[in-house]
This record gives sequence, C-alpha cells and structure tokens, in this order.
Amino acid sequence: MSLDRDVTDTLDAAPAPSGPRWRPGRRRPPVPGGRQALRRFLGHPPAVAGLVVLVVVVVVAVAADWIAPYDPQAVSQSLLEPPSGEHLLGTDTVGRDILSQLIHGGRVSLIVALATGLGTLVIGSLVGAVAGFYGGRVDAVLMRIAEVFQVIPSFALALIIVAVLGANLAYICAALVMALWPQMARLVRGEVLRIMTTDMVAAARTVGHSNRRIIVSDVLPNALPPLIVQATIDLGSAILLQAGLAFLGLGDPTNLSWGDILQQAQRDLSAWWMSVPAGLVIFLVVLAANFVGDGLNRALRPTSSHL
Amino acid sequence: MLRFTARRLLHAVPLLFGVVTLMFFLLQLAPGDPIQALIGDYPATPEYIAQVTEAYGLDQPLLVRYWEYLQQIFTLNLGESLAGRVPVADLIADRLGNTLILTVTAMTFAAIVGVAVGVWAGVSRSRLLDHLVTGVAVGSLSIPMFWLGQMLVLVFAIKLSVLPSQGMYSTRSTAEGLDRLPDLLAHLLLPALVLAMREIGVVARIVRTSVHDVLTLPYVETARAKGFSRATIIRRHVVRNSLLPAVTVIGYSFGFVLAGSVLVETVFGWPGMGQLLYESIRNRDNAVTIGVVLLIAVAVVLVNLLTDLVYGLVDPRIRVGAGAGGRA
Repeated sequence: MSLDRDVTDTLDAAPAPSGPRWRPGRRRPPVPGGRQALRRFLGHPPAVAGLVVLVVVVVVAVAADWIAPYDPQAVSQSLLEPPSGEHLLGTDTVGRDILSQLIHGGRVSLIVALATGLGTLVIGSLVGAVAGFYGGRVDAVLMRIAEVFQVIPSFALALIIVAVLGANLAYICAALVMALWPQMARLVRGEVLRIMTTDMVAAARTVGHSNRRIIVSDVLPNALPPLIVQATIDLGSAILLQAGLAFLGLGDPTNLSWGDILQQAQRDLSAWWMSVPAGLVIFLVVLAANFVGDGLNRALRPTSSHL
Repeated sequence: MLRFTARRLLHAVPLLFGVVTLMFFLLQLAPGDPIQALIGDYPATPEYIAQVTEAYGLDQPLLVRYWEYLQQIFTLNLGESLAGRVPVADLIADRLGNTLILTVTAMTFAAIVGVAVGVWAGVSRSRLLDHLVTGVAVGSLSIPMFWLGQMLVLVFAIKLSVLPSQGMYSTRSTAEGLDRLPDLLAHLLLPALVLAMREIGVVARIVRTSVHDVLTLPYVETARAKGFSRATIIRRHVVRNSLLPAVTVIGYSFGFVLAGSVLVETVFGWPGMGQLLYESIRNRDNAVTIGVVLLIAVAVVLVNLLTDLVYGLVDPRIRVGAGAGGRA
C-alpha cells in the first residue's frame, strides 16, 4: 500500500545469497554486521547526525526533571507571553512554560516510539514468520487479515481506535501497533520466503534439523537486517502519528506531548512561540529516525538500494 | 480484460467485508455501558432502560447484532449522530464534495509536479539535483503535515496577509456562481499545497528511479543508435514507460491523502469530512466517527481497484502476469 515507507520493494534488488557460505545451523551465522557495518554507518554523515539528535533527545527526556526550568503542568499568571528571560520560549494560554512542556513532551514521544516500535516488531515478526514458514492456507488467511488493516489508512485506523477506547498512553501505543503491524508482517513474510529457498535451509533440512532449529538459527538471524531498518522507520512514523492524534485532541491529558502544544497553538496561530519550536522538534526527531534507518540499511544491507 | 476485472472485483469484496467486520468489533470494544452512554447521566426508571435496550437491540447476542449491523451498512444506513439525531449518511454527504475538491486538487497538483521533477532529476546527470529530490522527499515524509500548514498560515495569512487562513469562501463575499471561483482558489491554495507536499516527494522519487532504470534499457540504446534526438527519446521512449509506477503510487496514495485531509482541514477550517470527523471526536459521537472512517476505507478499496484496472489497461503485461501467477 504505502509504498514509500516499505522496504519490501527494495528487496527484489538484493541478490539472494547463493551457495552455503556458512554451515547450516551454525550457532552464530555471520550476520551482515560487525566492524564493517559500523564503518559503513559512520561513513554516512546524515546517519551519524541523526544518531546524535536521537541521543540528545533521549538524554534530555531522561533528565527532564532536572533540566526543565518549570513544572510543565504548572499554570501561572503570565498568559500567552512571548519569549522572555523568564520564559525562554514563552507561555501558553493558561500560563504554562513552553520550554518545560517541550522538554517533558520528549518523554511521551520516546515512550510512544519505543513501545510502538517494539510491539510492531513482535507482532509483525510473529505473524509474518508463521505466514511465510507454513505458507498455504495459513499464509492466505493471515495476509488477508493484514490487508484489511492496511486498507484503512494508518492514521485513520489509529484515530478511530483511540477515539473509541479513550486517549491514554497505553491505548495510543496499542492503536499505533494495530496501524503499523501489517507492513512489518509483510516484510518478514517476504524475507522468510526468500530465505526458505536458499541452499542454506535446504542443507539444514538434509542434515535433519527441526523446523524450530531452522527458524531460530537460520531464518531469523538472516531476516533481521531489513526488520531493524523497518523498525527504525516505524519509530519515526509512530512519533508523527501520535503528534497528529494529539493535534486532534486525542492526546493523553496527563502526559502532555509535542502534538498537544500544537493543538494549543491552533487556537491562536499568531502566538508563533507555541507552534514553531514544537513542530520543529517533531520534524527533527522524525528526520533523524529516517536518516538512522537509511544509515542502518546501508550498513546492514549493502547490496540493496537505498534513499 | 474482463477476466482480469472480475478477478480484481472478487478480491475487493472480501476486503470490504473485512473492513466492516473490523469496525463492528471495534465498536464492541468501547469501554463503559452503551445504554448508560445513550441515556446520559440522568436517573432513569428500569422500564425506560429496558425500552432503550430493546430499541437498540442491545439485548440481542453478539452475532445477531453483527448480522443486523451488516444489513444496515449494506443499505447505506450508517446510524444517527448523537447530537441532533441526524442520519450520519446525510452529514457525510453534505461534506464529501468539499473534501473531494481539496483532495483531488492536491493529488492532481502532486501528480503533475511530482512527475515533472522526477523526470528532470532522472534525466539530468546532476548529482546535486538528485540529492535535492531525495532530500525534499525524505523531508516531506518527516514533517508533520498539519504543522507545515500552521507555518504557512503564520507566514502567508498572519505575517504577510496575502492569503486567507480559514474556511472555503470569504464570509464577506457576495459573489454568486462562477464569480466565487477566485475566492475559492485563494482559500484552496495553501491546504492543497500542504496535502500535495508529501505526494510530490513520493512521486518524484519513484519516477526518478524508474527513469534511471529505463534509460539503461536496450531499446533506448537502439533509439539512440537510430539517431533520434535526446528530447524525442526522452519524451517518447523514457517518460511513457516511467509513468507506470507513478500511476500505482498516485492511486495507492489516495487513502493517505484522504486521511491527511482530516488534519489539514482542521488547520485551515475547511468545511469537509475531516472537520466533521474532528467535531465528532470532540463530541464523542462514535457513530459519526466510525461512519467517516468506514467511508475512507471503502474509498481506498475502490480507488485501489480502479488503480489496478487502469494499470492493467495501460500495461497489458500485468493482465497476462496476473493470469499466470497472480499479484500479491
């Protein structure tokens, strides 16, 4: 469906590993990674810059209690004030400090991104691996279900789930996982199908390895690189989707996020100090996640096409 | 072609069925007692509660309610809105046209600009241009669309005061009929641009790649050897064949644009379906919320079907390929 955020379409370009480059079922197959991959990642400036941005955001979010000048929820008498020495990024309509909201809002974005990324990875891998490995009717049914979820645009699906269940952080993450898992499942399925036809798996079967052993020691490690790349891209998607939900008033009221600031800003757009920094931060973080994803793609899958 | 069409149609029907089913079970997940939600916080007699329960069929088992829901949906009965008891279908019908004006304008604009930029970047050997297209594409995927809208309002409506920031027509305008067009276009410009932004990047990127690929094919070499000019080769041999992937991307983007219009309409006060959805969320009016999302999903299924058919019509190889092995 949304072709742009899917790495499956680049897979055809990647030549299938031919010939048993390693013995079947060896405990640690030479996963494309290690020092060479690190060098390729570090040799790509946008990826390094993206990583730096993400690290800074994580540090700020973790240390929010010490860094933030005010309590982000504390109202004051100074309503809708432009930036000043007292409030570096001004205040909102009820007098809360914008900078402090930004610093604390990073926590929400990170929690949402990590929880959604992990959930998508787990559910997507599980469904995709089962579909790809067993094939036949199981595959057909699972992929049809995935298609039903995919045909509803991810933002619309997440929106309706949160609207029905209620806007708290756990439901928001669950809704985002529901919206993003089919893409991951398709990707994993494709990878599993590709790996299943390699000589490596044929050799493992000949030697008499069990299905479980083949999945664990041959299929999964070799399917990992594209999954890691997709998961990184999903982190960015989750942050964007969550911001959109919060902008429509579907943010967790006890955990103000960057999107909530933009919702406030919509009431009076001339108060630029509310809208400009919050949107810029979202943009930077999502861009960083996409750059890191591309860098990982170059590092882990050097033969595939990238951005 | 007929068999191909029939096969695609047969594929779309269970998909629609699946979407409706998903919506029904989602509704069942709603927390709290639906009867309480319908009655509100007023003290009610047991008789009244029983009456409401029966009227809404809430005493029926799940499967019976599911069956009735299916019947309702397929007779286009989407229920009534809580506020004002207006049929949801009527509410949506009122707004659908405005949303289509916005989304179709945005997608047409995105297709034209995206293809133009993509061909330009694909043909030119400039690495700088290549990087620029990629950069803008990644940027447009990372930027919160509604924020881009807010920024444009801030610059063009608030600081420069050259464009309107809200609505579809000026409230003071007295023009009638076609005379309203300039006013409409002025209101349409910013939201359509925001909505088109992401698609321009996506289309440009795919067209660029495909132009790159086509340029290396033997028949382009043959045309060159025959002595055709560069412009002719690009126009007749390269662009035409590079457009195929663009058709798919544009068709499949429709759902995204429709969903994105919810955010963009909220920013610009555009009186479309997205704004209806926004209001329904604020009022906790789930019948309207689900009705709009259901319509979006149905529209996506239909447009995807149409895209497949157009693709099959333009490129006969697809039909043959689908007959032999089938497309996933």
